[in-house]
Amino acid sequence: MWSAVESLFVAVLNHTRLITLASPAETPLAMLYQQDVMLALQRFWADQGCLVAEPYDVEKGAGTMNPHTFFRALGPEPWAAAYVEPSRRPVDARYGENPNRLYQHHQFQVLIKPSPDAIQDTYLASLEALGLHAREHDIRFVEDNWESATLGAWGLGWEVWLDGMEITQFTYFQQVAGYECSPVPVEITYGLERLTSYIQGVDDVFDVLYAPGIAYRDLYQHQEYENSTYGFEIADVDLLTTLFGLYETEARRVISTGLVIPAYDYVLKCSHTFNLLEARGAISVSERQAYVGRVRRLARAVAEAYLHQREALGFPLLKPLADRHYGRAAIAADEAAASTTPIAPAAPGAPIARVPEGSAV
Amino acid sequence: MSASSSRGAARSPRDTPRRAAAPARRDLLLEIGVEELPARFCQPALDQLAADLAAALDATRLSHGPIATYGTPRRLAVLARGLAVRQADRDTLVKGPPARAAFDATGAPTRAAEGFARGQGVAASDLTIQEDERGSAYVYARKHDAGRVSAEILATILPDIIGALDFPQSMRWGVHDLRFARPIRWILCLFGNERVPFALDGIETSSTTRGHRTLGPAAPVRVPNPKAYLVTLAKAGVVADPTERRDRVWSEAKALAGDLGGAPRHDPDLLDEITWLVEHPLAFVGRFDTAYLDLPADVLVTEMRVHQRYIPLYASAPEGVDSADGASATHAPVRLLPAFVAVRNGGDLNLDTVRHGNEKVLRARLADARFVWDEDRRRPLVSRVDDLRRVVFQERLGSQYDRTARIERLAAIIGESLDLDQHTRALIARTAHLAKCDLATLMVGEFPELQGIMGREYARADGEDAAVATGIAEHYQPRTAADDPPVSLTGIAVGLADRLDTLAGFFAVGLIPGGAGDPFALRRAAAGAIAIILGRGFHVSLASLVDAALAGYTTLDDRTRAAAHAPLRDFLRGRLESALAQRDLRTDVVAAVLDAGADDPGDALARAEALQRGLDSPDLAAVAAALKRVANILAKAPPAETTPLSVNDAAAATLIPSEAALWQAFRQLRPAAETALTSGDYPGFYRLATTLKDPIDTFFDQVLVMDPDAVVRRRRLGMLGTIANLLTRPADLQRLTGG
Repeated sequence: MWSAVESLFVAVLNHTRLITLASPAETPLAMLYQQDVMLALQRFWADQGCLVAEPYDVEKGAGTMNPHTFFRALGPEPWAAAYVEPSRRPVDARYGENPNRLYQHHQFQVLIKPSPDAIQDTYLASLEALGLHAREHDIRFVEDNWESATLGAWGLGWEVWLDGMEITQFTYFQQVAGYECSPVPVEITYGLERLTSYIQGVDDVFDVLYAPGIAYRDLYQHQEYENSTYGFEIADVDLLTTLFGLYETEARRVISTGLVIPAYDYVLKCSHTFNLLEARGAISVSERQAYVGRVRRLARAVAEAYLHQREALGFPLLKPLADRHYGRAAIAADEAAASTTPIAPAAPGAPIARVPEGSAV
Repeated sequence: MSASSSRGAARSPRDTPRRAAAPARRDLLLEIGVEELPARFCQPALDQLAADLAAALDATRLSHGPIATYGTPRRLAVLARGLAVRQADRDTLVKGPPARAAFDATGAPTRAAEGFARGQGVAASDLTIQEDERGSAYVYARKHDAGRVSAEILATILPDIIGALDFPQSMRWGVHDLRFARPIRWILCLFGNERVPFALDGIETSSTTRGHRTLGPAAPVRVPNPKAYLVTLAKAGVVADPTERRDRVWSEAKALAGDLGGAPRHDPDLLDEITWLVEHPLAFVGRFDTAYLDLPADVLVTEMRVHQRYIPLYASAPEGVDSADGASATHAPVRLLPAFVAVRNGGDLNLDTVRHGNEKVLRARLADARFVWDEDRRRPLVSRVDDLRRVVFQERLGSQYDRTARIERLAAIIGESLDLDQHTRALIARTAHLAKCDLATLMVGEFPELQGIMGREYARADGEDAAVATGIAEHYQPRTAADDPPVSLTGIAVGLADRLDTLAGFFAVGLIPGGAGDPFALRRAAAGAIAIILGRGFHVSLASLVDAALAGYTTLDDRTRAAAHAPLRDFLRGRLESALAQRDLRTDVVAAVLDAGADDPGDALARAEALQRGLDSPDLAAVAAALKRVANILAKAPPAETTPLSVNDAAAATLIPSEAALWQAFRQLRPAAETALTSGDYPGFYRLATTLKDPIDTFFDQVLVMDPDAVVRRRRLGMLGTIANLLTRPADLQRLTGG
């Protein structure tokens, strides 16, 4: 079932290239700023065959919600991407006064599908690229299973410990939006603030140096104060409740037209609005489940639309670059084909929907 | 059975003696190389691997010696000693047509015999004649299955064994369809010094393993033969024997603690988990600021033990008390040292870096805990009752606030029915009001396992009554089957109310456990309720408690509540049955007692204990046997004739001597027996019952109950019915099976 193009991806990924920085015994570890950590990880994963993507410009709680993960984890097409994602968690806000808790933190997210055989070694090599050599530390893969009720997604894996500190979530996705993942993607999520504070040897996240002369405090402490105040005290509950309903209505309407990304933007807005309402203490016990269910149903519907769309496009990433077509041309071709020939079968051996709605987590 | 002639003496070439093979037995090694398995999966998987391999070898007639298992988070291994290189040969005898139909007059095989022989794959000349068990002669084919080469069989059975390993959770990875607890990365399989070739979902076996990630070589390591497995891995930095790793961790922890004048507590669960988190353990000491010792000890221990898998250290116990291993230390005052033992997966290179890293992590955690502790105490616990509106109990059963209100009501009813004094009842009311408040604290939000414990700590800090603080913590007891029920009356009343409320709610909305599944731990809740009742020897009526608990769900309609009553009572009876069985009471005694009434668990226990002791006397057993006979007779008699006999009826009749003797004996003991029953003196009751042994025996020896005369018959049936009614009241003696 794997095309030549895809095997290129996999060949690159399975070939673990250990980055050869100077051995730490010879060279003292140079100061790594937060931005250096980001750049080093981008360089490392680019060398492993990942495309280096940008954060997605709609508010979200985790890098998993970036379309580069949420959608690309679905269906039979291969994928490999790495990106930094600012992640907003209104309930974790602490007015910029807690050394570990933030309204917005940054994840470095890697998603590779199918998961390569040597992915653990590759991950450990990525730490070497940051000067963290396994021999000099205690690096552990400790069971930790992940699930997102709003995305209908779950997976099994670990939290990775560096000398007792959790620095990464490492997850083999099993389901996304209630769909069984096949092939299985692996998601690696580094907590950038934690990693950098460890490397820089500081206890308070606001002491982390982002760049020469600029601390995390300079960039974010006041913003943390503002967002905390907004989330806990100022946010207009009635307005947000109305917005949630409007976003949901628009998401549904757009999904029904088959437009995936515009619909998904509204799903993300629903999710963030729900998070704000929760932080504001505006959601009761019985309402909470209902809200989560509403977002999950939207995520499910938009995932279904995405899978249909990719199928209609002939799963482009299973084809050579020259044979991939998108946009109006692809749709016109598809409609022409549909009027003359029976609907093309799905990619052989690649069931895209093996799990019914009810089994979503 | 007689042997008979064998026709044709030609031997199959397969039967010629094989040349003496080199060693006839070799060792088998299978190692499944994986990405780090969850610690809790490992030992059960090894046990299953050994059992499944033994079963498969036996089923395929591969004789073998002892089977051992080894494992680390990255490998599950099984080693079978002295496995035969060949399957045992097998001869089977297959019965064919009758001998007379098999050979014609000339002794030549008939078509029937030829067909049979062909079907069995033997020559007709090889058929034999034997008599079967009824003495008729039949033709038999002797089939010989030569044993196959073991390596071939292993290549068939081993992939199935690996694929069939059952984990609490399994996953897929990459493009594989195979499911396993974590991705399989290699399979090492050796039979003697040769690889057993097979593949599992594309993963080919090899004769190499992998060493420790940092202590071993980067390249795969060849294992020359199964015997060399442990040594090869040891050279590559892996301690493959979990027992050895466990022992090392424990002895290193004790030694390190001793240097600090302290000791670790016996904690098998933690030790097991640590054992399965490392391939090569190295224990080291880390420290934290003594200022944190002001935090509740349970918070410190949870941070260290649960979240970081560190071994907490305690100041050494005074002379004579072994705090490291004794269960008695559980209730001793806890004095933690500001230090812990952590276990690294590796060697001592840069150990200080690792130590500082771990200390830093714990420091951050303790700083957070301190912050949360201070933050939570800015408001009294009682002020959080309202916050419970926002904490979910169960989707369909409302919030913890609703639950609290129901528990308060039910605890009050329980306090009343136990005849407790006003002061105690006030304390119970307060405990019930505060019992769930800690669910709304930040600390329990972070550490759900500290529910109850934090409630106690915050209640103490608020200056609540000590009985209230204790009751808040104890109402969750017993937390496990091995845990003790609460001791305080506050803990007892609220704990019982809590469990009954949970059971009533779940049963009312139809979330009733079935089969093995019990997602809401309702069996544990019911067992806890029974343990609390039995622990204190209370007398309560389960039926009224169930009614009272169901009545608390005012949002449900009467029909729904009424429908839940019987299933819940039966469910509690089931737990009562297991609770009694766990007290070494005979199953039939328990069943006999519960059949006669299971509503008051304490009373059921008293009856069961008295009956079991009474049955030590053969006389009571004889009375029980006679009552069984009575039951049989009464069951067969027409219902119209079994009206119990009244004293007057008996007096009016002329009784034969043995009849009169039994009746007289019964009449004599009846008032005392009734008194014994009323006062709960069951041993006394059974002593009285025992005295009926001789009269009953004589009666059955000399009296024909089913007399042809209907009047006599009715009298005798009535007499026996009256006696049985009384004697089976505390326990249905007719149900005793002697087991």
